Amino acid sequence: MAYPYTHEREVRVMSRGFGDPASRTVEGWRKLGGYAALEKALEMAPEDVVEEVKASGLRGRGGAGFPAGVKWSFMPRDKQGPHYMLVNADESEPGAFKDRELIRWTPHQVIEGALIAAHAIRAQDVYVYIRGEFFEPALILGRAIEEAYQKGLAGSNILGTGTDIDVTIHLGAGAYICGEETALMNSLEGRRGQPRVKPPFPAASGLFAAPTTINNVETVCSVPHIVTNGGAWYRQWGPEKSPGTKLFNMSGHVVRRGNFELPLGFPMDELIFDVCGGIRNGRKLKAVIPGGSSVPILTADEIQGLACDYESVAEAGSMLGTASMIVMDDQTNMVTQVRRMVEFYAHESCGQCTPCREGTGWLVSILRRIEAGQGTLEDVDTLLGVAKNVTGTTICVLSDSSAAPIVSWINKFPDDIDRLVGGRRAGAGTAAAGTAAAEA
Amino acid sequence: MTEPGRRVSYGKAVRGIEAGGPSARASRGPGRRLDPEVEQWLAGAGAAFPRSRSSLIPMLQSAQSGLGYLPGDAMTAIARHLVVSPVVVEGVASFYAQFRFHRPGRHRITVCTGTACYVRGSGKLLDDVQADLGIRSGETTADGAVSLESVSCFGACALAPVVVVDDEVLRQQTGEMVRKLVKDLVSGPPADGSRDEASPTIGRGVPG
Repeated sequence: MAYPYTHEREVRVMSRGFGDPASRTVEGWRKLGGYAALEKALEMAPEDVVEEVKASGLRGRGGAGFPAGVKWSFMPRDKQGPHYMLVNADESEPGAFKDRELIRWTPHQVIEGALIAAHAIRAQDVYVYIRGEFFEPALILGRAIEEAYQKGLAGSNILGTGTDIDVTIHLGAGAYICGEETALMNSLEGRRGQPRVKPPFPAASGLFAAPTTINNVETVCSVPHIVTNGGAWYRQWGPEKSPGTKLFNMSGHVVRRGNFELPLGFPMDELIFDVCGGIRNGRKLKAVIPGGSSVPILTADEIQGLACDYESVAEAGSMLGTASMIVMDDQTNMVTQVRRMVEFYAHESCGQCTPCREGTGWLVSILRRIEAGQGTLEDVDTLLGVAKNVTGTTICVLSDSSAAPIVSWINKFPDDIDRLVGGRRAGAGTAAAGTAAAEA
Repeated sequence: MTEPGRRVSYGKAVRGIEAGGPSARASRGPGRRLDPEVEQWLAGAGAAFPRSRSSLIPMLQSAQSGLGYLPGDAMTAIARHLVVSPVVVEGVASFYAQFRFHRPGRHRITVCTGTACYVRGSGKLLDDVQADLGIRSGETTADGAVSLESVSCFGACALAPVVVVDDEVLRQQTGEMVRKLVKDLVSGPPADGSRDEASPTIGRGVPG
């Protein structure tokens, strides 16, 4: 069975097993070189594993791009109580579907990476928090964990090295916010998934108030390859500050949708027009959300020659995030889309901070009024004002995530909203206005 | 201590609860007998969970998987098992979108309305399905055959628009396709309960 989404320009490191059900077994995973890294890592001192991952420059694949090895090095070296290793598989961001595929096709890659990470941070327990909608991936991972236990790859005395690490799945129950690391911890503890105030950071006080490290599924899946081949090997791909390969999850109006594993720094226009085969039905590209729904949108002009790495996309005024790209053609109405997106954030607000709980609701109300043709120019100003007031005023960044798209979409695609409110605000539709609104 | 009448009535209530008598069943107090179906779940799957706060969500999932939804008694049973107030259990359960407090239809249809599906027409798709079934998202048809739900993002964006029918993920759906599917479902045999296989107790027990 050929994985339907391959392309000759792909560099398949993590995605080698995609499309082959055999890679879901220990035997199949070993054939792809699996569990060699675990054997090697368990023979190494934990700090040496951390140093190797630091040397690779691997950055967290959950969206923020924080260097994984540096995060691990925050954990206490003298273990005085339990340490926890959490794998964040609560992939809930609209547009993101890479972790689902990593778990579905290569569950042992997730287990192996998590065990190596647990060894590096001296954790005796791994919890994999999978979103509740992923019942099929959770089932596949559950079977793989059982097999790993049976074959002495997890549990007590792993591979005869005397290391004990348990692996447990926790299935989420339908809350986007549980992808936020401290909300995830509250959820694991049997509470509402509401983010905690930081500091203290998880490495000091995380799950059950113990030192905790939390990594995204894709981060964890990169680790075995780095341990096997070395940090320098990993740096053969991508620019200096964003090394390695990354899964690009492509959806929306492109011809070929799916996951493509490419070196970081791959040009975004070639990704869309070559790898994904361009826009369907011969239409024109209008816009790209480059990193999941929470990041500012980019126009067709802005993506020309833009390198898909953390720094370059940030310089272009957006974020690479999870590299979950939603591509939109020229028939897309931006007001309708942003309204739907903000409805999502209003629904998923956990409700503990007033600016987010109230503000996202007001953003939806105003957008619905504008979409219905009953809005005025003043409403657009109110919208941008509310967006400003929900930014940076809350415990987590959920409300920021709802505001950032509004500001960028309205300023970059003023025509859609102008038609509905019957006019244009002074200075709107220029790059300067977008920047000013974002900074105001 | 100078109100003997109150002490007597209080004592009666306590005795009634201890004896499991009629006054206990009628009250909302700690000794009240629960729905037999819930008692059966608690004695089986429920009792296996450690009495730790971190068992709360897995227990809610187990109860919903076994009972189809979360009746009030199920949450009371969980509260008793974990020795917390029922309001703690209900407060957690109501936070999460996947917990249902009403008996669902025999078949469940979930339409994804995340951005990647929405740009591929899932808004119209949901409108069509609602019009076909004559119910809104979150409701069940009068004959109890079909429940309709929407999900914010299912996380399978390459397959947009995604519809999930009885836990089977269907790709690139249209209103027409879902209409035919509903027709086949309602006239066909009931769901095979495949959800139970993927129940939340997979993996190795519960955290904590």
